[in-house]
Amino acid sequence: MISPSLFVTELLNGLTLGVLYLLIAAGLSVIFGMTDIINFAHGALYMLGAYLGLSVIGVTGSFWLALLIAPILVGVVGAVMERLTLHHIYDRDPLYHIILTFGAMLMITEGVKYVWGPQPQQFSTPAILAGTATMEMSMLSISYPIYKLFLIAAGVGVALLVWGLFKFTDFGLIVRAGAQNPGTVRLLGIDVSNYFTLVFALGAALAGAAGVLAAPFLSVSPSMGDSILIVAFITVVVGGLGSFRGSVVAAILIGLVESLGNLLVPELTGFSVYLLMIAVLLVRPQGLLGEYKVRQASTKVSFDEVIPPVRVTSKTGLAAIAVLMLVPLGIGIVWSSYYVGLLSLIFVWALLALSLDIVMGYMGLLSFGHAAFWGVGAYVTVLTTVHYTDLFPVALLLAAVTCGVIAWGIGALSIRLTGVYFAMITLAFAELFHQIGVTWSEVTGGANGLIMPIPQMFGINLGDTVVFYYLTLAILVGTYALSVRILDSPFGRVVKAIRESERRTASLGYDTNKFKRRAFALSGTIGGIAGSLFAGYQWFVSPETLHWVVSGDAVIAMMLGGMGTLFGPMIGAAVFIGISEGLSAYIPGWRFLLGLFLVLIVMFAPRGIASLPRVISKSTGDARSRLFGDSDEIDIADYEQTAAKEGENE
Amino acid sequence: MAEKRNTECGSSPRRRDVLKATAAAGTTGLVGVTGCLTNEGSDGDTVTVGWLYPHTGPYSGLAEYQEQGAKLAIEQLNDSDDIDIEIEGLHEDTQADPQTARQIARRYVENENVDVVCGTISSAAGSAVQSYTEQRNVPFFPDIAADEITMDSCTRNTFRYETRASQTATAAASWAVENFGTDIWVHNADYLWGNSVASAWKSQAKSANGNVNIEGETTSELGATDFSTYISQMSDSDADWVVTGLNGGDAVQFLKQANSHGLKDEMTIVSPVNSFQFIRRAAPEASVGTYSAVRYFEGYDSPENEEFVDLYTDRWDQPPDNFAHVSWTHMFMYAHAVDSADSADPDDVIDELPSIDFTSPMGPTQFRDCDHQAVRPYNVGEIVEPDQHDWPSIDVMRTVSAEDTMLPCEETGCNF
Repeated sequence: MISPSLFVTELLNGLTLGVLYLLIAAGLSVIFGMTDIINFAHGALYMLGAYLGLSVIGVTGSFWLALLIAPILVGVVGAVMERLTLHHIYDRDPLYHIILTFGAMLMITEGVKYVWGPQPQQFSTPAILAGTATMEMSMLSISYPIYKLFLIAAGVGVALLVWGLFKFTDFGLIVRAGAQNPGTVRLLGIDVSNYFTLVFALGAALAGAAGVLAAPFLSVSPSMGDSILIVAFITVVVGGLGSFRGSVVAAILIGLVESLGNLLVPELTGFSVYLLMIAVLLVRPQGLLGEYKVRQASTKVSFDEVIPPVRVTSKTGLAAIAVLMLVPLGIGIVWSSYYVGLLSLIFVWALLALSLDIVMGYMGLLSFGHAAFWGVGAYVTVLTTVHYTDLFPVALLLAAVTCGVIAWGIGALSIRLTGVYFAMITLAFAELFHQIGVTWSEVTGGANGLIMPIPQMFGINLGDTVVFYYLTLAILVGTYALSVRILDSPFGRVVKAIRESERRTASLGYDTNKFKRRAFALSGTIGGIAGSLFAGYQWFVSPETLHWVVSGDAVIAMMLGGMGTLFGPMIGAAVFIGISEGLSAYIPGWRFLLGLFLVLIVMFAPRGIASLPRVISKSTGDARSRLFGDSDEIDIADYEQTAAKEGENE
Repeated sequence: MAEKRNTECGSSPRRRDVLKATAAAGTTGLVGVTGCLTNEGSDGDTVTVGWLYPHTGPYSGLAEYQEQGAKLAIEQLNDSDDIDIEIEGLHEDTQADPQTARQIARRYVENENVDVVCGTISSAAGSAVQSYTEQRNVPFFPDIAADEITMDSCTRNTFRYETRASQTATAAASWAVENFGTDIWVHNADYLWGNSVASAWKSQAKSANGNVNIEGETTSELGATDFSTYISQMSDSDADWVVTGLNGGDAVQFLKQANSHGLKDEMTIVSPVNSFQFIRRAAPEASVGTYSAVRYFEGYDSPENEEFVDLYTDRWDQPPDNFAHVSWTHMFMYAHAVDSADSADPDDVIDELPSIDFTSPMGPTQFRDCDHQAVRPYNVGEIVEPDQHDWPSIDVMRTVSAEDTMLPCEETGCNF
């Protein structure tokens, strides 16, 4: 039996959380509303606000000054960030903005660690707001921290301010007009691009303010922005992208669902928010108060240049395979077996990046949930080898089939969404699997994961580094060759046509949703194979394999290498794992460099490493490099390129 | 210049040597530095220790002490005349992530040829590394407290001076029932160690007193930041005391929020770990007046501890915390074993370790033969107003002898 006092207290808890989410989501929503940018650095800016607040208090001793100065400083950081990078690439696909802000997030986080240290810091509650307020009524007896009541009031105040700013000032008028039609505003003699910078700075400042306000209540650490960023995304999506009112409603709703859900159905703790988001997206894809149509076109992936995949049987392909075949011979002479093992890890990641490229690069659907296939593949493999058979290939097959089915299911539910909405719903599904991994301890081993016996195959010990190396290499080459073949088939051509214009493809009589589901299932199957091999590499699986960070890493690897090329993402995976492994042992702040690298790639070589030869040869005035891509494919490539341009103009 | 430290060939070159060789080749124009640069490390002079620290994530506040304790021990051992071995330490951040920890362990073993792997703090990372080191037969000294690692899933290569969660419960749960009452709320972070704490405290409390009533149980995610909803539920119950299976940042957050909600006025807060200096420093006001099992305490009264605290404070400008003393003790016990076995061969060291008698800052200790868990005494105390330092001190109230906290060998479920 829940007492009325407890219920009211939990309502207040939910409200506090909701206000906190609102403060963060407000900035995110403001930025997206104007610029269509999904700012992944938002959590980092929130964290930066808390740290700057800490320093202002250290110098002045005043919480109120911190609440004023820190957001301004964060706003300045946001403005500089926008001017140096985003300002120049607004015309690009939102995917690039995501990667760029992701890079910025890494840089800010590492910067904070460098300045303030990696340890959590203590931010004490200002004396005037310390203590608890007590209320006694007939049935109610509540005592509640004053600071949290202040937080609720402050949140409402900030929300009103922002709303007023957009509703009643000239600034708000211009920004709203700019969001609707920047061209017209420009015609009126207003330099919209300056307003973009201002809006970004405003959003950043809001994040900074949220950081300072949250600091006395939550602790201050470099990772404080990570988990809250995802909730902020969910808030914005549930509320409706770009709708400020929607964010307000969604934030409060999510806060209440979390705290009351915890009280009433503790079994669903951790699931509730994602279930809410999936439900909203399925019933009202545009979010509670959002408008879907306006945003649809803004989140489409298309290319102005088509780079055809390298064929396995081409000279480049065969040479690469031959070199890789020889690598294990160097063990003990040139390198240790560890590096051969590392290469097989790279192959496994390459498979994941390849699977992602099929849906993103070829079909134009932003998937932010490939961790689901990676993780489920790994779990199925471990569970199969632990409970049923020690034959690794059986486990691998089972993992592939399971993930294919799951991908088909997710596809069936969510494929009518596009762009950011699709990214968010796949993220939500992946997080559901993550929660299952963490919560269903009896089967998954919970947060501790599961240990698997060393994989075997017909008496061959796959725990041997060299054997496992050849296995992964063979599977990688086979999968790659098959993927190239499939994407070159009539099926593949329809998939590519969907990327360029789903409407035109549909008007030709194709059931585009059917093709999208199938391509997604194919991608999930390959993702599952990758996950299965990862388990075979680690002999171990834990819920981290299902964490959204894996999805993020896969997107980064794919972007780094060059999406829509199949071979590019594999190179990207190699570079990504290489950087992570190589730098992490030597350079403490290596993630800063990774972030910088991402930013530079997006700015100067947006098609990734695969396009580098072309970028370089273009800038030196040489003829088009023939290093990558096959010359006999060029006709089709040119044709596709023209089609791509047409699709863009549409 | 790349120097051949050992002439034994056949194994892989170590990366640092390769780098040195490359650098040398680069500066002097020397080419073709190949062949054998290998230092097997295991035949007497130099041993290599691979340390794993969770510098990122919920344990980041604990990792600093862990690393300082390890480094101090290595420096002391290298300067020592009593122990005739050189120790080379490798130190890396696992981000408290099991996959990363395992990958680093793999590199340590396969590329750096380490003789021993230590650390992790995170029990999930610890169990991931444990199974790998078992396969490669490398001694492993985890500083995690989850029960399993020296119970059901014990392995021959794993040695633990750090407490088993149930040992702390044995020392403290019956005492808490006696002093605070029989109505208990149990809250824990949902992972290996947190669950160990919850089940051990429940069963120990129940076996101490038949009237014990578990008023409620809640679990939060590892790394949770907002505990308000759990605190409100505790506050609404009739529990006399609450035991929290929370560590690191989670414990600090819980204490601070419990304090601001006024939970301390309504019930007693008891924890297996809040005695950690990190937690007392991070949540000073919030931790005063709560009770905790004491694994280590910088003010603990023993000559060994005084010496340790002095050395540590000289070196790092702050007194040690629990994980500093665990790292330090693990390092010394391992070095003694290598020294008296006169070999760093894994099998020799593993056979030798249970015979090492060592007096740690917290008293005499030894690894048991049957499960490689260290036998050592435990304490319970109250966290009180600052005394020697700026942060709260501990009033040690009860010491439980080593024998009384140990589960009989037959009951551990350990079978190598």
